[in-house]
Order: sequence, then C-alpha cells, then structure tokens
Amino acid sequence: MRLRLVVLALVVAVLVAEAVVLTRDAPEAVRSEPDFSAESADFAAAFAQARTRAEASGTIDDRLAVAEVLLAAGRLREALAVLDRLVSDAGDDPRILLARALALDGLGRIDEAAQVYRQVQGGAGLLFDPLVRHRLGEIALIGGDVVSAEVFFRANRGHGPSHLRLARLRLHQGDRAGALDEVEAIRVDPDLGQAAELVALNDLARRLGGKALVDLGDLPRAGLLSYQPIDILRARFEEGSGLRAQGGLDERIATHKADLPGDADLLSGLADPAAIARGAVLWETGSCRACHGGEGFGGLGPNLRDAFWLGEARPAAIARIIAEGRPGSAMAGHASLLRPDQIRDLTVYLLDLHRHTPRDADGRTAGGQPPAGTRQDLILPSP
Amino acid sequence: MRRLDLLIAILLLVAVALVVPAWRRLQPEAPPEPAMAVGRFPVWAGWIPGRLAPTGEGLPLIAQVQVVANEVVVCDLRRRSVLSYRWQDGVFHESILAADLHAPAHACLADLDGDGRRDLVVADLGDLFPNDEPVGQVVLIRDGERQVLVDHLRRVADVQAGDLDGDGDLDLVVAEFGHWHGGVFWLEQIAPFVFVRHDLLPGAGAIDVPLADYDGDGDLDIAVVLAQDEEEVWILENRGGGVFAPRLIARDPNPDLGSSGLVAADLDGDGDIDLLWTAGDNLERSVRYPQPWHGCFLLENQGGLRFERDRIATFPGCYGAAVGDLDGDGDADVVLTSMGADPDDVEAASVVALVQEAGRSFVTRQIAATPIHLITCAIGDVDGDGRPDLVAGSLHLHPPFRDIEALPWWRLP
Repeated sequence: MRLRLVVLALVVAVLVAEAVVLTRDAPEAVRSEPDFSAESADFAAAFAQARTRAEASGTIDDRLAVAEVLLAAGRLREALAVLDRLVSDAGDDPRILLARALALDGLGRIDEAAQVYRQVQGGAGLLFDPLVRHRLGEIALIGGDVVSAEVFFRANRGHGPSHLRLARLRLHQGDRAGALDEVEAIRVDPDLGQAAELVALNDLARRLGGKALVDLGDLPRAGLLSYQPIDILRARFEEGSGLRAQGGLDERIATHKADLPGDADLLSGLADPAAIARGAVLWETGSCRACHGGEGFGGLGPNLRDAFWLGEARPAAIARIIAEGRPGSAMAGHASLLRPDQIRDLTVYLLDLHRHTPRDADGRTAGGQPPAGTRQDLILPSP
Repeated sequence: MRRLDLLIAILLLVAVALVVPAWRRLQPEAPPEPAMAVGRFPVWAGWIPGRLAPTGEGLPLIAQVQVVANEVVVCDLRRRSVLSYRWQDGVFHESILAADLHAPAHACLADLDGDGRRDLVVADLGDLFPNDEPVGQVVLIRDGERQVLVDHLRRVADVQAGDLDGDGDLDLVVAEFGHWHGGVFWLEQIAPFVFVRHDLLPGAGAIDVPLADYDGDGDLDIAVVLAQDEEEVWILENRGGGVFAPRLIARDPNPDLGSSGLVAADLDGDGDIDLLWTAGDNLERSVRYPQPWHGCFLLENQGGLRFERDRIATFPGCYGAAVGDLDGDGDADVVLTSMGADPDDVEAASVVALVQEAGRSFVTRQIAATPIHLITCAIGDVDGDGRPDLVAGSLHLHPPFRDIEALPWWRLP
C-alpha cells in the first residue's frame, strides 16, 4: 500500500513537472534571443514588443508579425526559425509561405526558395501572384536556366517587370521585333519605374544593335530621374513623346499625395510606441544613417536634432521631404522605396528623436554638425 | 486497491504520453543555422594588422584605396576628400590632395600636360545613393588649383588616363555609372587641359574602366564592367584614329550577380592582359546576407579579344580586388575583400588571398575576418621594407556596425 502511494506520488510529481514545462512557454516567437547588440537597441525593442503580443495572444497573425519584424530587420535566419515553426503549426498559410520564401531567397538558398514560391503560387489567396511568378523567373535566370525563366515571364502577361525581362532576353537573342512586342505590352500602362527601365533597355539595344528600341522623346536627355519629386518627374514624363501617360498617372500622383500623412496624424503617432519602434527599424535598416549620422546629429547630411531647418519645421513637411527628397540637394526621395505608412513611421521616429534632444538657448545640440538653415523651434508634446 | 492500481496505470500512461513533448520542450533551441562554411577559408597566418589613420567619428565611407609607388591614395566620401598617406618614421602621415568634393569615387594620378608635375583627376559621384540626377563631375586638381572638367554628369564612378589616340598626350576615359542611365565616354585632349568628349558605350552601371592593350596591337583598349542589372564585360577595341569597336566578352544572365569591379593584370604570366571580374554587391537586394554566386572570375585572355571565363573564388560579398606577388614566388596572386560577409559569422573572412600555385590554380587563404565592409583594397610596398603590403578601405552603409576600421593595412613580418 505504501509502495503504491509512493509510486502514485512520483507519477503525480512527474505530471506536474511536465505540465509546468509544457505551459511555461506561450506560442513561441524564437526561443533564442536574437542578438541585436551589434546594431541597435531599437531592433530589440521592436522585436520584444511583437513577441510580447505573440506570447499573449498566441495567434498565427501575431506570431507572423514577429517573423515580419525579423525580416524587416534583416535577421533572416531568426525569421526563418519562427516561420518554420509557423509552417508546422499553420500548414500552408500562403502569407507564412511567402515570408518563408522571402527569407530563404534573401539567404541565397534559392533552390529552396523556389520550391516554397511554387507552394505560394499554388496556395489559396496568392494564386497566380505576379510577383511570385516573376521572382521564380529571376531565380531561374540566377541558375542560368533561361528557358524556364522565359516560361515564367511569358506566363506573367501584364506584369511590367516580366515584360521588360523578356525584352532584354529578346535583345540578347538578336530578336528586336520580339523585344519591341514586349515593350508595347507595357506601354499601355507606363509606370514610372518601368519608364526608367525603358531608358536602360534602350541603352542595351544601342549597345547590342546600334540604335534605340523605342522613341522616348526627350526623356533620356532630360534625365529620367527615378527619385525626383513626382511632380517634376510627371512633367518630364509627359514631355516624352513616346510615353505619354494614358490616364492613370494623374490618379496615382493624387493617391501618392493623399497618402502622405498630415501634421495631426504624425503628432498622434508620437503617442504610439509601436509606430516609433517601427520607424526606428526603418532608420536603422535604411540609408538615413549614412548621411545623417548614426544618431541623427548629421554627417554628409544636416543635423536632424537641432532647431535649424532647411525646410519648414512641420511634421508633414518632414514626411514630404522623406517621400520626395530635396531638389538640388543630395537628399533623395524615397517614395519609390517606402510605403506611405512607412514614411509616417519614419517621420514619427524622427519627431520622437527630436523631442528627446537637449538643445541650448541658441537651438544647437552638443556636438554634431553645425546648424544649417534657419532657426525654427518645433515644440513637440512631451513623452 | 484495484482502483488505486488503475489510477496509477492511467496516470503512468498519461505521463508517458506527455514525456516526449515535454522532453522536446526542455531541449535547448537548435542554433539558427550553421555558419556559412563558404565564407571561411584556411588561414594564412602571420599578417600583422595595422591602420593608416584613426577611424574618427561616424561611419567610414571609403570608396577607393590605391598604392602609387609607396604612397596610399584614398577617396574618402565622408570627408569629401582625396587623401594621401605616406609612411615615415614608423607612422603614416596624412596630406589632403583634394577637398570639398561631393563624393569622390576614384582618383587618377597622371601628368596630363607633360610638364613633369603630377595632376589629379577625380571621378566624383556627386551622390553615393542611386539616382539619375546630373550630380557627377570630373574634377582636375592641378598645382593645387581645382577645375571642373565636365559637369552635369550622372554619377561618375571611374576615370582613367591614357594616350588613346596615340598623339603623345594623355586622354581620359570616364565611367558614368548613373542609375538607370549612364555610359562610358572618352575625353580627347586636343591641347593642354582642353578636351573633346566622345561617347562610347551607353548603359548604366559602368563601375570600372581599366585601360590596357588587351589585343596586343600596341594601343590602349578600354575594358568596361556594367554592374547595373545587365551584368556585362565589354572591351572597346581601339581601332586607331579615335575609333573604338565595342565587343561583349562576358555576360551573366543572373540579374542579381552584383558585379563590383574589374581589374586588368597578366594573371597567368603569358604576356597578355587578363581581367579579374568581381561580384558581390548586395545593396540592391536590401538584405545583407551574402549570396552563393558571389566571388571572382578570371577572364583569361586567349588572344583575338576572346576571353575564357573561370571562377577562381567563391567569396561572399566580394568587392575589392588587387593583384601582386604576395608569396614571392614570381607569379601573380590576388587579394579580395568583402563588403559584406556573413553577418552572423564573426569569423567569416573579410580579406582573402588567392595564392597562385602550379598549373594556374588559385588556393584561397583567409588573411583577416575583421574589420568588415571592405569595399576596396590595394597591394604595394607602403612601408618601404621591400615586401608587398595590403591596404583596404571600408564603406559602412548597412549593419552589422561592428569591427569598424576605415583604413586597415596588413604587412608580413
């Protein structure tokens, strides 16, 4: 009897221990803490916030958000670890598969990436996704398999980058007429980026065959500027006789302008730590630091933390400069690289940085680049 | 009592059923992935590291280092200057050759007017970041005076001097990298410092234009690598009288190849000029992981402007390349630097030597794993001890921001 009771007690103890082990981890993000120390604490903050949400809710969406933070931070191996677990838990959710394919692709594991892209292509929700199909074509090119690449690109009718890729292949095959067919297919919906690529395509045609493929009017001479403020680009775009916008461009410009955040929206972002953290990730992973210094005190570009401004000291004006650049300066527009919500997050982060910066009575920071522009005190709400 | 036995048995079954997942849960997390073996190589021990100068505040943005005799010439984007370093009394002494530039990418030292004094011609990108703005310049520094030779160019990545028309003075070849649009042209010097522009090859991404007599006919030809999407190497054959015939000598269908440079040298010692084609640019992929196709190709001159392509190194982030006899055995070896080795592997090589052995084979040896983000390198006897030294420069545009050194150098004891 006593022996049985002892056995019973032992079994119960084992069960309790197992229960503790099994319940102490909520649905995991990654077990091992990614080491962000070499870069910045901001990465860790964004990651910790996403992971806390994932642990609290355990939902696939929140766990996927953890992977997306890691992807955005370029921590592809950690992202892949999270995504592998998600795949085993959530099966063939196309969003997870796509994120996993992107991680594998970025890691250079292109054969595996191609396999997962194919799964995405066949999965619900992203059926026949043109971006996926285009990437499959590019991966085939990476492997030197031009025949398979052509199959993917040809199957992607209406997708500008695929037509352009085919046009390039045709030129290298000596088939100018075929190249022109591909170009004609996209000229009904000229895209700014594609128009820039047409300039490059013309150059390729001239290198290989001695003359341009399409008439771009004055575009090349005027300088088709892929990072120009969109109004200037539009004007130059419409000057080109061969690429006149056939409706749609005006709408896109209007959408672009409407999507840029206003002062109120940006100031409300200062109360949103998640927006600030997302902006911090963009600051770290983008090209800002190279010009404005690691902490924003300036370098090649101006000091962003003092009270001197080259433009207008208003939140919306900052967002607009990020989006459209400053003509005549080295500051390029990033509207083609960042979504409007990312421009908002980055602006909010800069505002947060600005409000945490001590400045002396003259509006200067201790250290950093000397003031440039005019003194304009931007008084922001305290944290 | 039987009920107690039954309870124990049931609990035991439950415990067994749970022990497996619990055991798995207790196991430590597997490491994300083993380090990329492809980024590590057997070490060539003995190289002594040093620095030309303190790195200073901020992130280094060195675009180019070159060794001219015993002098190291540096294009520094952060300081917007071309700098010179000379070894004297056991330390390097810095002097400024040109300042107040926008974004100097390449410096060309040559006596353009034949007056016995060295002139400096600078390829000024105007802006480090991709765009098609007319911000590039070719700048001449002559006796300390500055003159903009050509303005309103798209971003200029390289300028080289040579007598292209055989009239006894030096002309210039300019690589206009641009972004979507660019090209290569030459500037014919028709009188001292008076130039006429002649366009040669349209296309964005011209990053290096090394001059040499590639076809062995006694005049200078122009080699070009186009590194923007179309990954191509061209020779512009000098037919005399200012006529150049373009010939595509190598191309890779991989749009992500990431061509990063082109170096001319007689690698195989057969008397003709070969080319080293490096690939390792990762910036347009927006992630910083090296790709398996990164490395260095030898384009071996077969005569008649035919070049045979051979991959001589797989090296993540391969960017800088230089040629010299490192081991003193009389043949040419190669040094490669990486602008982005595996960010998760602190022991991944950032500098390697390709040591040439019998049969024109190259063996890769790791010289250093730090500092990182080395975009440019050069070989030369900078400390005057009669042995070749290595110099490199770093460009820090993306994480990881660790192991930062602007201008490292290595010497053998």
